Amino acid sequence: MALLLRFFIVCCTSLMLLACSGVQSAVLPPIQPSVVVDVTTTAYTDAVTNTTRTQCFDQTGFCVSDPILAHWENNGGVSVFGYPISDVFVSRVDANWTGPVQWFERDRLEDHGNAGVLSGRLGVAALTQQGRPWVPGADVAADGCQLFAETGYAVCEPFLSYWQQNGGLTRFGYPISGRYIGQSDTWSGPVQYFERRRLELHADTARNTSTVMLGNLGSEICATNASECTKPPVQACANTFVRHELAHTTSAGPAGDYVYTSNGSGLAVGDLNNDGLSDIALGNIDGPVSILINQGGFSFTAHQTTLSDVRALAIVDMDGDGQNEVVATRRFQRPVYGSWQDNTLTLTDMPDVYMAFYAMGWHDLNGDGRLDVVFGTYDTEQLKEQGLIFTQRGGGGVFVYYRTDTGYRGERLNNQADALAVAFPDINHDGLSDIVVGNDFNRRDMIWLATPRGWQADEPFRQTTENTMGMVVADINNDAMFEIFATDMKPYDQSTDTMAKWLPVMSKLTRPLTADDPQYPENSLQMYQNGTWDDRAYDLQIDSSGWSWSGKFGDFDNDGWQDLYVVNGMIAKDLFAHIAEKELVEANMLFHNQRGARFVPVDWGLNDTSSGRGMSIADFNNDGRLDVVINPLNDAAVVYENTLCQGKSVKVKLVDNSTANKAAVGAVVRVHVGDTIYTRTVTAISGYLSGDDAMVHVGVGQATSIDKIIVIWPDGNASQLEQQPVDTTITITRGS
Amino acid sequence: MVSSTLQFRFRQIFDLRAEVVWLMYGLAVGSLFAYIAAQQKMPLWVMAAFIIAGALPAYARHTYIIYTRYGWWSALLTMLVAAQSFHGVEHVVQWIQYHILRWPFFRASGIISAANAEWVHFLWNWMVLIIMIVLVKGGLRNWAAWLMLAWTTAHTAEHTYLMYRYQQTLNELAVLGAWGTSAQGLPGFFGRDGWLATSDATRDTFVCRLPGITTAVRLDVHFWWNVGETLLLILATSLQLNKQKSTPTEPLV
Repeated sequence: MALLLRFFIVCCTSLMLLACSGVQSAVLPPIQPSVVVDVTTTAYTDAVTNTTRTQCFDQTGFCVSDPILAHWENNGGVSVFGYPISDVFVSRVDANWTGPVQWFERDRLEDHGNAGVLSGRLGVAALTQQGRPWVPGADVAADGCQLFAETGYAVCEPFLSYWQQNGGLTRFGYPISGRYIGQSDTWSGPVQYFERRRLELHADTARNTSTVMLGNLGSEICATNASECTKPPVQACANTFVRHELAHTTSAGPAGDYVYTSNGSGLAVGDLNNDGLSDIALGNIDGPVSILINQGGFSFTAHQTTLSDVRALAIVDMDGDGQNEVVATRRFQRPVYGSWQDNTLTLTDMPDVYMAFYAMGWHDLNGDGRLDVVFGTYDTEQLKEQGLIFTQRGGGGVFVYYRTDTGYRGERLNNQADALAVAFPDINHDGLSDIVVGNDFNRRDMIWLATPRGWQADEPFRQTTENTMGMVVADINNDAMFEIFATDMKPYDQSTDTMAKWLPVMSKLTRPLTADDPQYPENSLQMYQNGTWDDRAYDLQIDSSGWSWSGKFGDFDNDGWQDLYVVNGMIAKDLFAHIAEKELVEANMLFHNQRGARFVPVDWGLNDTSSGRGMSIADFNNDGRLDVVINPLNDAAVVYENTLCQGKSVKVKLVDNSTANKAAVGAVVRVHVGDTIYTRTVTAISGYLSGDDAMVHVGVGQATSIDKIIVIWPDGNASQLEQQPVDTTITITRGS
Repeated sequence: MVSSTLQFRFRQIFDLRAEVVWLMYGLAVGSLFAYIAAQQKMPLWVMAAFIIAGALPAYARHTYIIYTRYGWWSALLTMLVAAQSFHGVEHVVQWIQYHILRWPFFRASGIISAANAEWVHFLWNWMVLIIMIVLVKGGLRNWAAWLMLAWTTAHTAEHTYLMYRYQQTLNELAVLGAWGTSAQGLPGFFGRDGWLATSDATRDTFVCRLPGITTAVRLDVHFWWNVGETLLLILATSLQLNKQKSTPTEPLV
């Protein structure tokens, strides 16, 4: 009897462990690294820990770290630059460059990464600040002088010799003023402005000599405009997210918030001006799309565009020219893309694409090194607005557009869809990316497998969502295999008041559920185990998150496990007539990953109750912590700054110069730390209509170094790096 | 235990040979009313109720005979076992409707429960609990009886919780003006989306995803509640009656 009891207990315990654990040990095929890459690592600007060399100065109380310290030491130190008068911080210096800067008494040193440390154009800035911006001169050549035709000014002795002997053009720039008698409170004498410096001639009457000295331009500018030289306040580690409101509100328009318009609009994250900081494009229905240029320190400059009535947005380099474009699907018009130049989004229709689409996804689907795109229509809305004309014109469906030399070549996969999401997981684990399209309104999700004979429809999922709202591919249990998460509508809170709000709508929208119904009105998490896909969302407690739209994974606390954030809420006069304001107000949900076994809701300040639609996760201030941007309906867009400061991380940026898919969309990055493998993929768009940053982020807990990074490029070739530092951005470049 | 001098046997509970004529007439009348109800396009549960009502006089007489010959305790036991068995049939029908016939969840409501699943099961379980308490108090005391009492108490507690939630939700719907929206079928304490599965108290523990207990749909949860209840009741009754095997049994016919 005792033996039987013991056997029973052991069996029960094993079953519980099996039920509670989502983690499987990773058994990966061997990788043969064949692609040589260039690697650069950059420490986070606002990283909590700093392992680089640092020297502090009691004279001013500020410290200088490498690489600026090395530049300061190697180029004259105090006599040339003076003492530091600020911390290092990210600043937008001009329209073309934003990056780490540090102010000194006589200079502003700028860390341009691979281009090295450069001096700021303080001469230009000082003249502008004095209200007399430089204008081209009309000097003529004279003996003992050198005329610079570039600016029209001549430099004469003794300034000329000093200029020539101390770095010339590189250090000083061109002259931008003539020589004249300058005055300050304590001194007056001959001065001349150069782009980066001001030279002063100080007379020593006792010795009857004169000495050329550098003006304290840094101190002067900072004294007049202290904010320019002050590091923006960095949020202390507060174990929460800090809200920053953005200058954009998505509006449904005067017709009001009815089903379809109330679906709102997406957003996209990406670097539009190549300054190293992630910018934001915010979609809109009845109003302009906004472009928010990241100035650093959670300061964004908003630019309104001429684009509106937008659904999905992505920031991708669609043509491989090294410059990201903004691509948008529109409700009743063909997709467009726009190039960001001179603070203007110049729009062009997508070539060879003539239908109005809703969802889109970007991937190199034919292995030619160019980014292709999958578009899906939202037939229910089109039918309501256009009636039978929609079907008479050929209806909708899912289309693959392959990039060609001149535009795109389309292939229709089917002729019906209510597509809200597109993803490219490898469904049958044959090494090829397949297509998954998530559909709304009880329409089954659609899967096409890549085969030698073309796209072959498949139904690998035994249970799915009923109304797929968003979809994302991620490895949530560090088993080096990707899971597929889809959002749906299911009340998270089972309280009676919540259920009373939901029940009238559920009775209208939710199809009666039978025992063998493959579609459940709840979130799904497809996990590949033992050769089949199983929906484990309920087991891992992420099946219900409310009326959910965009849901994405990210390791917010850098503990090595990707957490889940989902934005919620619905506004619709025709659905919620029984609720005041006709709005189902729900807090967004943040689920903390419990080592892959389950998810538990946490309150880190992200429980925003605005009616979220588009949402993406990215590191906007380059501190190694993932922030969140949300584009709700009828409320101001917001970005949430992460101040959790709990672990270390690494960010990986891929640059593939050997193909036109420069950002290596579709590549897989595996970060090895000890026995743990963190796996990420580069995506252009995921969740609900929301474009992703191409930079991948990996939280590594308290690890002090990375053992190995393996990159599997979109063409299947691999690269491998050994021993990399943490709390850095690692740029891996393939091809020259 | 209150008991007569004659030994009451388990099989006598279902021994309706003496009431065949009553049963035939009753079912005929019930069927007639069911036919009329069908003509009037009344719901299926109304027709079922008529047929069941037709069988009641026969069973009432049967119970009365047991009462006169074996005492109230045996009559009460007869009522309980028969009622619980019928209720089990109701759940089997639900199970078949959902799992075999693949009816939608809200339609797979058995025979009578379609009237109002919450009220039918709430009242039924309270009736079972009260009778069980009386029987235990009257002498039905063995390990299976105590277990049955605990099981029934827990089952009734869940139905009470369900009734509370049902009423609360109806009130909330009334406040919202959403009249006519059904609030039946919400999760209870156990099962998928139930309190145990979603409570903050259990969310971070293995308890919240115990296979079956927090994963089964409500229909299955209550099917197994009733399987357990019926088996324990039969076991408890058999154990009790077998104590007096030596006493001769008098046929009811």
